[in-house]
Amino acid sequence: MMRYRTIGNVFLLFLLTVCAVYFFYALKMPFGKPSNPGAGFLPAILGASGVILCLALLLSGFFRKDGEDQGDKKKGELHEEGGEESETAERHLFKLLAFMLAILLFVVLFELFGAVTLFPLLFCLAKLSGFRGWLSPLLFSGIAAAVLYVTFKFILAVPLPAGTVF
Amino acid sequence: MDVLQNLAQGFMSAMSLEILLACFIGVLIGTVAGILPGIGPVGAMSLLLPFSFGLDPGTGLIMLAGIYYGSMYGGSTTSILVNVPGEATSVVTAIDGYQMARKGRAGAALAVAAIGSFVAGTASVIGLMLFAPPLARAALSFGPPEYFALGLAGLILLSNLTGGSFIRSVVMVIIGMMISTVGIDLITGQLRFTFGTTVLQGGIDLLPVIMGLFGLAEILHVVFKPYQSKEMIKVKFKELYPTKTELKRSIWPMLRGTGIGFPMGMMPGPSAFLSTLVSYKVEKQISRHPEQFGKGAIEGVAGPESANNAASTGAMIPLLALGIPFAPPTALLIGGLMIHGIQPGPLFITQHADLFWLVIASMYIGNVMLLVLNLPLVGVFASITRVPAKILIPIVTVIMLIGSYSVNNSLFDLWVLLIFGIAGFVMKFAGFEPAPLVIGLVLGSIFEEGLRQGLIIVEGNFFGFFERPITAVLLAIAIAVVLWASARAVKRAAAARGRKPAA
Repeated sequence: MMRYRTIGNVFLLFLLTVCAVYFFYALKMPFGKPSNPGAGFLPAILGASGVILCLALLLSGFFRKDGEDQGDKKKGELHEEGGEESETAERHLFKLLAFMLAILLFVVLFELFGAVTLFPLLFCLAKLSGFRGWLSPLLFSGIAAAVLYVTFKFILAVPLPAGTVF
Repeated sequence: MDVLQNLAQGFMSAMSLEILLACFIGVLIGTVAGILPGIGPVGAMSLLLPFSFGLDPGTGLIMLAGIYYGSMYGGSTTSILVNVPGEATSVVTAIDGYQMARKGRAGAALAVAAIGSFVAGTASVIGLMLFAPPLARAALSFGPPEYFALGLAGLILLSNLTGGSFIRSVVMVIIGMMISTVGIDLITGQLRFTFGTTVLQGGIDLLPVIMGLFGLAEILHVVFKPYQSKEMIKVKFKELYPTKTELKRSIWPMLRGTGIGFPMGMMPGPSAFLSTLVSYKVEKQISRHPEQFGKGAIEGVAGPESANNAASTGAMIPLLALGIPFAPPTALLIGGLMIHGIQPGPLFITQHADLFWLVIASMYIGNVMLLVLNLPLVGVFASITRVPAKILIPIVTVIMLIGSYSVNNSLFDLWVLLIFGIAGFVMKFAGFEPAPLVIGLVLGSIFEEGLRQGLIIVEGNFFGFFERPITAVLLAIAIAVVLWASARAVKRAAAARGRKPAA
């Protein structure tokens, strides 16, 4: 498992990149002058501030000891108690990545195939959330997809895509 | 007299089946959201926000507000019965509430929590209806420099109050403000950060960002670190009554909690959570039996539960009077208002007085509903925690995806949801809080408009801001907080160096 500090540094690098790119594009906009600030006035300030602060955090992180990592961990992880399952951390990570992939595929296919994509999505999520075998997740996802479709489409009148492929 | 007349009018308007039903649904869903770990009030409100499109503004706002203060009631149930706080605001309640339950006084703890929440909620609504209108009238004299200073002070206070690193919170606020600049510049009409695409011209919507950061991120966290349902302490209806001694010991903590929570609710940041910490500390310090705290002191339940409810209502004051949200739940309420074409701000109370007083009246009604729901049905609500995660997770995820899509019928919003969901999940391990990002996103446009128009007014001389009294006070507060936070950071670093063993 990656340590919190490593994750923090990687995330900070990501933020630094975002801020640097943002600052680069902000400089291309008219800055204006203090008495008449342009569209790029605040973006330039934000970009510069973001880059400086992210760099400061990264540097302070590199020089900080391991024992001081505790202050950086998210507080109040309310849901850890209750016992760990017997699965290894790697298996949890695999489940998580598969979960994200299922949602990603849904996002890609939703407008192409319409609301029918709810069924395979629910099936995948059900299997990843702990449904065993094939019958119960099939039943669950079939019923849930139908109920949710009727609820959204007819009761709440939420427009759902019909799908462009069919 | 005007206040009473307006309130009476509000009650008359609230006594319609549609309004009462919306209030009931809101507080019921809020209670359930408070009970279930993983679904907080922000997640529940963001799920329901798109579905409030079909309702009229008042009904939608009442339902969403009901979820917000309803969740404060629900969180205490699992804190006391299962020692698993459903909400961050119920973490402190679990300390003594669960210990009371283990001693067979679960019913008393639940009853005191519900009564305290009712007392605080009702008293705070009185405060809301008394303070919000005059504050709104005062805010009518606010110009761009005042809004800039208010936005800046709010953002800096928020960054300092989240409990994490000040600089990390500032970085999150900056990221949120960066996101708010995407789209069309409202002053010059120039396109910013659209990269030639049309989909970004409208900017990045608040709702998918919030759903991602608070909803999907939490779902991913539960998938990654599943929680097990714990054995729940059972409570019979007849055991719900506290003894006379317990009630007597609870009255002053309830009132103190209300007095602590209400003003804290008006401050930016996780005020409801912080108010519970302050209230617990106060009660422990002034108690005649401080040794009982942590072992089942009823004051440790009464005070914090009252404080968090009072804070949630207090947070409505800057929202309704100034149009400025200082916490993610109120940011969502602003989103709800704007969806219905209502511009929040100081003119809201005067231009939509009927709506304001309708909301106030419904909050009184909602608090009564919550008291009635939470006491006799506590066993039913607590058993909701037994619904397996494998059923809840897929359904909530799909509702979140559909809800996000339905905001603008745009696939782009789904991508935003997914990206911020993953970002929010990573942030949990990287030590960053999502709340400052959301507040930066919401306040960013107010802040920028105030800054740029304010600079035009003072002709580019920043010191000109200090010539306006309200702006000067707010800017002084912001500067003082930055200096104090910096001094604290330097002191901590020096203390850490002092603890280093000699080489």
